[in-house]
Amino acid sequence: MASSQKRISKELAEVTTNPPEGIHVSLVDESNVHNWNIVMDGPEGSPYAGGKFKLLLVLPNDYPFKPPKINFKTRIWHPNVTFDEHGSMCIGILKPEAWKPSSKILSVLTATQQLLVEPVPDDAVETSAAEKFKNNRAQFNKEAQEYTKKYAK
Amino acid sequence: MSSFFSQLSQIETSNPHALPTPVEVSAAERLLRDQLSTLLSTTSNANNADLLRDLISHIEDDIDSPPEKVPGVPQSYLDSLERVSKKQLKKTDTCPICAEPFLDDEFPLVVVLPCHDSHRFDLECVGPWLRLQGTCPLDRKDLMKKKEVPKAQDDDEEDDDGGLYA
Repeated sequence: MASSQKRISKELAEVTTNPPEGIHVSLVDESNVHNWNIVMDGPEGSPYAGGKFKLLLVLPNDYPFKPPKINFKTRIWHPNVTFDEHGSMCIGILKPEAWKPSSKILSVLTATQQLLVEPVPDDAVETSAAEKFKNNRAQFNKEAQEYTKKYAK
Repeated sequence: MSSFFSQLSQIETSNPHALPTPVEVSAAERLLRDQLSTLLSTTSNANNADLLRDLISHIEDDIDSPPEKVPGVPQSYLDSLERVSKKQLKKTDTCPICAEPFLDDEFPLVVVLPCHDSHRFDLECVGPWLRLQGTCPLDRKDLMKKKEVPKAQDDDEEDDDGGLYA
């Protein structure tokens, strides 16, 4: 649909001219506005600080009626992201029953950043990370920091 | 695949105002499953075969539990939505879905939803969403529930009475 391309181009222009702190956006392929490469700095005050995390954001053809899909390409030890090659993230704003076509990609990105600061262990996809986060925070932080050093350069 | 799509379009167009019923959804899913099974029997790639088997098992789950109802609003609801005239629109007002200023269009067809008078959209943009979701794209209020206005008024009156006698 042409209208969705227009809206996506507009959002892309907004995010690239006035990028949120710690988030860098570029297109995977200049001729296709549907696939975005994201580089997100690990937020200060989180065990991910100092790391640079690559994410892939894919906008479906029926965006904004369907939510974008976003995956971590960099391994991350986090209760709401699968610790595998998919890096699937579980985040409230993107759930089909919560998605609103008026939501902006920018708010998805800042919500992702916020999720790194504040994991939601009750909505976990990586249950072992969630258990450590809940029961042994010091150990969780240590492991998350180690994985950040190892993968997120 | 041609038989699947022809049947699907039949389901969709047999009555333009009808919402798909659970039975029709199951029928469409059965067709899709059969088509995938045909693909499965002809594929030689093991990865593809796994993917197809996975898809088929998901579809079979869905066939067993068809949706109870489709959440969208009927076309008549869209037709009855309150229109916003060109005079009421400011240059800076944009549609939250396409992000375009309403007045970029010489003849904007803008509607306002009953949940809030600032919830304005191009009818063309909000229509498909409402037909499938039935909720406001800004606050996700269920618009079909909103229709029970008389009931809510009754409740208010009772509350008022209670206040008097308390």
